[in-house]
Amino acid sequence: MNSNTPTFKLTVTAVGVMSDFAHITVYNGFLEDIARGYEQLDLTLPQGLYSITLKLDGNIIKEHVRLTEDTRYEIPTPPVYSSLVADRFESSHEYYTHNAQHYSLEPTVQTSTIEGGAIFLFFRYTDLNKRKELNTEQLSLGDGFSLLDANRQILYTLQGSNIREDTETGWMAFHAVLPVGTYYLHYSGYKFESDDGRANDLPAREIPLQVFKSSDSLQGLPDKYWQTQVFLTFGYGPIFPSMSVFIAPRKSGFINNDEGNYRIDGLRHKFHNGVYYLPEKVLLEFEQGQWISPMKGLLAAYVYFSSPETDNELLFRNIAQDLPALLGEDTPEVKALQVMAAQYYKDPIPELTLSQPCMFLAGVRSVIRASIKHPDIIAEDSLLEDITDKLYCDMVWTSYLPDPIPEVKEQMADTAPGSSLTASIFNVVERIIGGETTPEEIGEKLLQSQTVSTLLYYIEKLNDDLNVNDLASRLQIPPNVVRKTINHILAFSDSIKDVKRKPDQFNISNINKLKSIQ
Amino acid sequence: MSPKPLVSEAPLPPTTGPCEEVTNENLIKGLPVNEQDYAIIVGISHYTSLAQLNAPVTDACRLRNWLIKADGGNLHPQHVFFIPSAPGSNIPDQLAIDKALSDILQLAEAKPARRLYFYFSGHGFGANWEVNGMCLPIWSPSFYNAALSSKAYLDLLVEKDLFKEVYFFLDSCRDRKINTKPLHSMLGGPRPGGANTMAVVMYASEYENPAWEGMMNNNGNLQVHGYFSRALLEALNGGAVNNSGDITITSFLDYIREKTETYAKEKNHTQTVRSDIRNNSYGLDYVIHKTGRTPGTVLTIRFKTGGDISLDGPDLSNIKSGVVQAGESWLIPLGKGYHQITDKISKRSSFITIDGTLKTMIYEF
Repeated sequence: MNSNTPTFKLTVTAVGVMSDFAHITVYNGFLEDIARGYEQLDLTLPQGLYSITLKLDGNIIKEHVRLTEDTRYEIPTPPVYSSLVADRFESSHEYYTHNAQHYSLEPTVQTSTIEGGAIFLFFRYTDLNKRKELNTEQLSLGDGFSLLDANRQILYTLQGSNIREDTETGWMAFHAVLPVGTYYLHYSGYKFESDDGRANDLPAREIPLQVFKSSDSLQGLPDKYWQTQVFLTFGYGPIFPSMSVFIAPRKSGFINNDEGNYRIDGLRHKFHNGVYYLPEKVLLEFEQGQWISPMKGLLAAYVYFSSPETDNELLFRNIAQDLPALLGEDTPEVKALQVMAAQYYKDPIPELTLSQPCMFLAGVRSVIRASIKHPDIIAEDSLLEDITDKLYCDMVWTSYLPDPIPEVKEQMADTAPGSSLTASIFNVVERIIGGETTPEEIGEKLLQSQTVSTLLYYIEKLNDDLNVNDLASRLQIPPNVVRKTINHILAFSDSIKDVKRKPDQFNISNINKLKSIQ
Repeated sequence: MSPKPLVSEAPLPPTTGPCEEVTNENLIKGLPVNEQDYAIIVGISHYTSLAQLNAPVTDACRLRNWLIKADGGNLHPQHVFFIPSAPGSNIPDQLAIDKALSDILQLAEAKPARRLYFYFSGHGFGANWEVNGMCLPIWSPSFYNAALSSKAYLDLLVEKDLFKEVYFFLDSCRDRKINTKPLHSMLGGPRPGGANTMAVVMYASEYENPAWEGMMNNNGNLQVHGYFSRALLEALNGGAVNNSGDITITSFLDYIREKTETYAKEKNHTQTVRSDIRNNSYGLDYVIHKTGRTPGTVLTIRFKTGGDISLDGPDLSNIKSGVVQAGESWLIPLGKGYHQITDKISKRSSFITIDGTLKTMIYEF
């Protein structure tokens, strides 16, 4: 190119749903990446050949451009599929959106709570054809699900009169008005055979859900109580990584054309893939103090504190300060975010204790990281401590392999009373071994624990510098959980030593190493 | 301080096994080689319980050979630790990989090091978006955690601060496996924690997605390659050079991303490369490799129909034009870039991409 080469404007714009999250790259004729960004690029370029790549949600669109005049190039965004039944998503259908809207305003169970927040669950297939293909028996989508209270007692099973559903089109709704606090969506698991004849096992899973209330002193909100909305898509079973969670004013319910919901879904999707991107429009809303959607604030804060960016430090300090009044100071969500913010700003870790998991996995992981130096941040023998070595890491939401729900355990205790030795053993390692009864069974189950087997692997391979904190860091669990696991192994070393086909890791040398770091 | 082993005293890297022997001609001629560069190349095709793969050992060989060649990475052959799997065997295990890493770290502590290449090709899974499990041959549902943590190994290499640059390539699937804890390196110990090492990290696919291998025509040879690894080798062999003959970080990443996507698309797959760069104080135009060659190809254009044809280059300068008859051909040397061929009569137009790797190319219009 020389100075006489004419230049022209090239404007490339993504248009359509989720255009904020469409990533555009422009290459010049020599295949050099000359510009990249989200949604729109405004460039002045010499005449020539160019190519444009738009990426969104796994789709890639490529176009060539011959630039000989000012050119405005619009690329429609590809169809987007989401659990959220919003108007402009390809996977939304009126038979879903209408019912989601309707039952978000009408509880499906009657509770004594009038002044409270709510949990609204909406499960569905991507469309009617998928339901016909994957669920020929028209089984209820609520099968295997229960809503538990903060003490893990069943409040509702998602069955019968507790839910509304249409097994023909394939959707299920649940809506309960509930006091502020922590709840757990429990799934007991499912075995099925897929098209290719393979046996599949969807393991049990539990997901903490929070019901929020804003501070009475906060002015200008449409409702101080919030509805936590969960949208989940089914394939052969629930596809948990597709789960979308929103927090809306309780009395407004679900609004299927709320522009903000698209942004939340886009943020979540990028966050899930480790892309810490915050669209300008989202940042602008925060700068203007718009707090219609706390989920957007939470998600944006988690995204920001996960990224190395430092462009909006003041803004996110303000957001972190605003959230306690909006969602409640003592909620796990707010506490975990305070820990994460402190790690991000390299401030001292706040003196607080969590006993329950927050909804965002990033928050739980921050707390686990903090526990290496501040063990008291996780309450001893709490549910949060218990789940730290059972976390699933396949979605942005916290979820874990749960203990059986109380009814199941009681039933087992009734039918299989053990010896006094077994009973005491059962109490000590209940969380690892579940419902096994004899020492041999317990020993074998212990060997199957991923945490135990991996810990023993490290014990065998590492010769120097064995310490609890190093093991905690390798296993990504709190030091207290490492100690307890070691104690469990040692407590059972006698019963384990005679177990047939035991792995080599259970040898005297390793047991002695364990004793040395106990 | 106890003396550290010098290059000549270092244990020999594992045998080349299935790789063809290559030498660094600069060593033979007494010319300089990149003594400050090291590589660990792991290719695992053979698994006890998982399906056999065809590409990893082949691709690992190709990268190893490029690294050793004088006009490639120009590494001392003893600095390239090649760790392939073998049929009917459970090797390599974590110890084999950690041993190689340990040897390299010792060498790098003894003498300033510039660069480390870490390459893994084999089965893998995404434990989460930033942790990939690199499956060892014994991986099975019973040995659920018998996989190395990409993040833990990368963190170790960066935090050791012994290298100025680390290039970390993973050609493996990133499909989700839940509740896994891939293994950290056994090389723990105190870490200086400076973390000034620049790390260029490339995953063959996005989190939750598979990385594919397939039969490919490589200049007339049919071989199975990972799409990502093929693009990686092409990039290093000159495909990623800019018009100055340099491979920069940008041109390198762009080329691999683009070509991997293209190869996958040709086989009706989707595969998007994920890259991350840590601690880059050099800028994206930092030159990774100088080739001194201007990229280009000799293109044969065969005309299926007659017309009044015009061929324009990347900056719209006309390269050739004229009336042609059906069956006629043009033979034209073209530089790397986009070109546009147009029939002025029918107004038919098409873009031609010359990526700089192919020595000859035939295009039908």
